[in-house]
Amino acid sequence: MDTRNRGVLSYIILVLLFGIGLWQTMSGEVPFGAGLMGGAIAVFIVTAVKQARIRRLEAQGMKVYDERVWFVAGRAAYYAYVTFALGSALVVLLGSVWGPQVLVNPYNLLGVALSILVTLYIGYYYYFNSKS
Amino acid sequence: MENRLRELREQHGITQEELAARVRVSRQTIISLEKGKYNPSIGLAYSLARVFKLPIESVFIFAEGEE
Repeated sequence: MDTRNRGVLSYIILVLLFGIGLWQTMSGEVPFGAGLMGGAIAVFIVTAVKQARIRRLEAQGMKVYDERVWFVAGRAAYYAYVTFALGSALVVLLGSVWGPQVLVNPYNLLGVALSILVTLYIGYYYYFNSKS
Repeated sequence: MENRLRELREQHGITQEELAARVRVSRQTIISLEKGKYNPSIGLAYSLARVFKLPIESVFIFAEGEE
């Protein structure tokens, strides 16, 4: 997928998220809906600025997503996965033995797990980016 | 892996941006290569060597024992 297609895809996802936020707001879920709309707008602005920068660099002949970026992204993804898998296994093990029985909303749990995974990936990406 | 990129680039009067544009990578990649923090693929090494009209082994110095 090239840079332009990636940009179009991210805009489509943002429009969908904004639409869901609007629907939720009108359905009475104002904090969730407003948060989703605000988040979508913030990400749209950041994406638009980033896309403009990428277009400017590409116009100068440079390739932003070059082999080094994929090398760093690959290492970050691998280390994020390993850290997440080992951390989860440890929590499951310790929680099964000593932890209390708790009821969880599976959607909340998935959301928390996803945000941990993404945070790990971003952290590792910046770490390996500074190292290589 | 050591390399002579910075020395050759300065000899040829090319900026990091110009070199990046010639081999279709980012300026950050050229910086990393010059600092020896990143080892390029064979394709990129070949493209860089071609910019300076030199064989790869004259630009990148592969020491014994390096993987």
